[in-house]
Amino acid sequence: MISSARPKAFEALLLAVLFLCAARLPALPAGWTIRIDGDDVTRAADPVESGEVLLIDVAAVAPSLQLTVRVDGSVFTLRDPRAGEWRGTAGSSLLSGPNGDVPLARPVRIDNRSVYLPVATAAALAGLVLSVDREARLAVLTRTAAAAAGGVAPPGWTAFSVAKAPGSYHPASPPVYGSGLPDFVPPAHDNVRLNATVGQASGAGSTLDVNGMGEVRGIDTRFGGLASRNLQGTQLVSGFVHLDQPDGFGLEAGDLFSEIWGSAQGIRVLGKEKGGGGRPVLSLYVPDGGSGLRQTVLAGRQELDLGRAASFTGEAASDGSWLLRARYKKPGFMLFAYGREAAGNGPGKGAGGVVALPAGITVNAGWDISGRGGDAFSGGNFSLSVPLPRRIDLALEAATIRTDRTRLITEALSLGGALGPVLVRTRYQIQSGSSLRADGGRNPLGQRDLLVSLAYALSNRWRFNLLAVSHSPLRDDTQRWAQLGIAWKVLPTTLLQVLATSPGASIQDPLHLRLEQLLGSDFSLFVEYGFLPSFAAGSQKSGAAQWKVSLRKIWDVPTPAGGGRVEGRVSTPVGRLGSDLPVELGPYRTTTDAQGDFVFRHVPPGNYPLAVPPQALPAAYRAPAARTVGVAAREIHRVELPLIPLGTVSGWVYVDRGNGERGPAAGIAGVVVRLDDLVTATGQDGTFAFHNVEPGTHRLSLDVSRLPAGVGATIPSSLDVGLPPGGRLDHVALRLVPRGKPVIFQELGR
Amino acid sequence: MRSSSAILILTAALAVVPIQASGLKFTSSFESIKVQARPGDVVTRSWQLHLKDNQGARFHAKIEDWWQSEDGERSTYEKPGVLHHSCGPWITLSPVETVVAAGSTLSVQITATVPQTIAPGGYWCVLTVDQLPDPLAPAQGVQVNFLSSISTGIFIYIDPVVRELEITAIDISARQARIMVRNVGNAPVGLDGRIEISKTAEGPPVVSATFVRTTVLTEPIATRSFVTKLPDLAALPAGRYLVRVILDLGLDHDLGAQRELVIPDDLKRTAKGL
Repeated sequence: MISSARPKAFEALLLAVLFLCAARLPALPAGWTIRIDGDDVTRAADPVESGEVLLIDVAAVAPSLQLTVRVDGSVFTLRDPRAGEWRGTAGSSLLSGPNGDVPLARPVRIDNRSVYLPVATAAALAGLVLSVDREARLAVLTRTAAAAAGGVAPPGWTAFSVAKAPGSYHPASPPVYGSGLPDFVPPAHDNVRLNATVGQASGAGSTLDVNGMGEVRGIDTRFGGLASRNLQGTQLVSGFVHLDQPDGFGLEAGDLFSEIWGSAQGIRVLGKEKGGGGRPVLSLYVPDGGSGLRQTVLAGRQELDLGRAASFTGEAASDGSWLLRARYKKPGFMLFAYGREAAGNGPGKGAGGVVALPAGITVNAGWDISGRGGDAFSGGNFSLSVPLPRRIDLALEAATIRTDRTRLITEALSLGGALGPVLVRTRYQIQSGSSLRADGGRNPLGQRDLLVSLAYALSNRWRFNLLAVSHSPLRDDTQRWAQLGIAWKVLPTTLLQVLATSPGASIQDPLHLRLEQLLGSDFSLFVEYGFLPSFAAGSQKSGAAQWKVSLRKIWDVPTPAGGGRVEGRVSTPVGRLGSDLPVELGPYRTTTDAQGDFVFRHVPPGNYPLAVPPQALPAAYRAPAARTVGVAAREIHRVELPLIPLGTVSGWVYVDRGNGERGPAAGIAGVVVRLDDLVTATGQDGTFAFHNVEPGTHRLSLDVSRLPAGVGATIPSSLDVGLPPGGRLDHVALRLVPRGKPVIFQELGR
Repeated sequence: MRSSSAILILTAALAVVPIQASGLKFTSSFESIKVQARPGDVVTRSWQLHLKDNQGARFHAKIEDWWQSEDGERSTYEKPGVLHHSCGPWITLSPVETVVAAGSTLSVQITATVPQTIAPGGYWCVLTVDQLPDPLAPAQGVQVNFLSSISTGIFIYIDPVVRELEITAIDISARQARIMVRNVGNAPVGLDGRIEISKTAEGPPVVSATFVRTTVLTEPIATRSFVTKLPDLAALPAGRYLVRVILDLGLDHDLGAQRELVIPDDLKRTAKGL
């Protein structure tokens, strides 16, 4: 039911939604002509349109398409020119074929002996090429050039050529040149996502919520504003702007948060961060109702880091207010303390910390004092979190609150875990204390609460939550109530949430419904029914259930990109590297042009390793070690990446038998040859080679301890060779000499 | 010159299955390296072989020209550059000789430096990785070393590539079908084929058989024959049949040839002809 408080606004909203939906359905005129291989078959094909899809009667034009079609009630079978069998059912969006199912742009329509299929499907089944002229209302089906050519067949045979069946051919993607590694570069523009929601609640009023988040020239940009219109008039509820440049200055305005005053309004300048000093912050706060500020205040804040663990923050304001905070943080341990004085609100101080103990146990404790006189407040809290086996977690909590009139102690035990697919969480809480009476005595306070919640996800579409509560006030009857939550994804674009609460609950919302519908073009429609606290103040019927309808639109607005630029050249003193050589800068990758030049634009500030990826490095080159490039916003960084061309040292080992033969004909196999720490052995003809050798001086030597029998090395058995970049030393001859066994003569007969 | 079909047959048959050759266990994709390039391009790809963790080995990588006999039974390996359409002279490798520890991976960088002036078409060669004896291993007298050798095809395509075949002969006998094709394009063609015999053009095939996938090169032998076994056609009821040979070149259409087959008359004629 829609309230009549603002019927015109609501109707206008619905009309706008309907208009947007209707605008997405383009209308198409009729009167198509169908030609197959030059013949006009329009009358037989009986073309009809379904949405933007043109259907033809394939049974009537089967001979022209070289198809055989049989209809049996609501089922048809079709045989294509390649003898492929296809089967379809009236109303089905799939065609079953020899290679599996093929989706159809429109469901099969069978009318007596006629079978209507999308014309594109009919062309693919027949192996014909379809061309459509939508303006001329003409669809032409022709044989492919290859099919028309027919091909060549041996004598006595007839050549034919047919297009492949739908689903059996996947055209090759455009050729990928170079390394085949895809480029990944920073986006050419930044983006701000703008979100606007207009809402209308029955009997209450309307809201307009606009917010944006993203980057403009690398500057972190966030802004938002909420305006409402109700019986009390139109007002700007909240608004803020946040602009922050990494490693630079920042600006905030509108709603701000102050550690001295809490929520406040004003303007704030964030300074440039300096090593160890944090960011200096200068704020100008103006008087407003929320913070309690009664005059305009100028405040400055500075952080000071002492090593990695300790930090101090100090803030001082023109009205004498101040804040001092110290923090010490190490893995598994954190301690903080603060003190402050807020003019008009009184002093405040506190301390707290977290300790992580073995076995995953965590202890958290804190203590705060603030205000003075009747506004004085002190509180403390302690919690112990213990993980138990089977992913069960146990938590013990205690907290105290003490004001001028009230003392309250809260103790709670929580237990959570999974029972099969159901997540279970329970909490038992006891509160006890007293409040000051007018006569100076104290009234006892207290209550006991037991909460049990169950969460179960039946599937991706269904989720259930059940909360059962037993609430026992100190001097009143026990109240028991339950709340059931259901989330149902009706369609991929439709989500319905239901929250039903049993009688007896303190919550005045027995049935709460929320429907979210994605409309396309980044529009979403929200319909909500139930108690809407944010509208209750402006409602004529405070506390009653209301309807609320909201429409949201999201825009992604391209903005100028920021960041720095890294450019350079991959070079080599000899040889040719070609183009499309990948270069990687941290997570980004681009390729070189024909001159070896590369450029990364709009790189976010930071430090990045720059290198040619090893898998794309041309053989016979070595890349220099990766270097780190520091990128700053709006700066250009020029970097050279020279590749080192590798060379070859080759030759042969021969046995000098004194006959003048020194070439490979005198080569000897199995000789171990070393080049520095590389090792190889000569082949059958005595040749050896060391490839991909870095330029410079190397020692080439024979392993004399492993020489074949009958030969020996001459002195020296090694030599130093100098290899230029990319050079070849191809004719290095290493000489061995025959070494016969000594003959020892013995005299016989003595 | 080395003539052997063993290596490529081994390559094709074992695909990605871990294999054990003379005690050396290793895995590799064995897939041919196919590259689309332009004149003047420098293109780098990587080929990998992973040794199982029982032993390390020394390897030597080299580039060779390769072709097959017309019947595909024999492969020939030659030094690079023998063929007009060899990409061997364009290729550099790194590393050429290296030791791979047990459980480690041999990664060979293959860089093709395409000439600035080159005719369109397909160019090919093979990467052969030979296992070498360890030169530092102590001699153990007379022994037999079983060493592994793996060859992988490298195909480089320069546009415009024309993949075109002619069917030059089809022989149907009672037990087998034999087809001869000629590559009249400018690039090697990977070819799948099948034969179907049906009673009518519209009816389902009563006999169907596929040919083993093969590659038809452009030189030095541009023709290729391949055979598939058939069930005994003489056992089919006498009458007129339609026989279709359908070849898939990886294009958007299939090539084919068809004729009427009279059983048993045409089978007798074929037998006499044979």
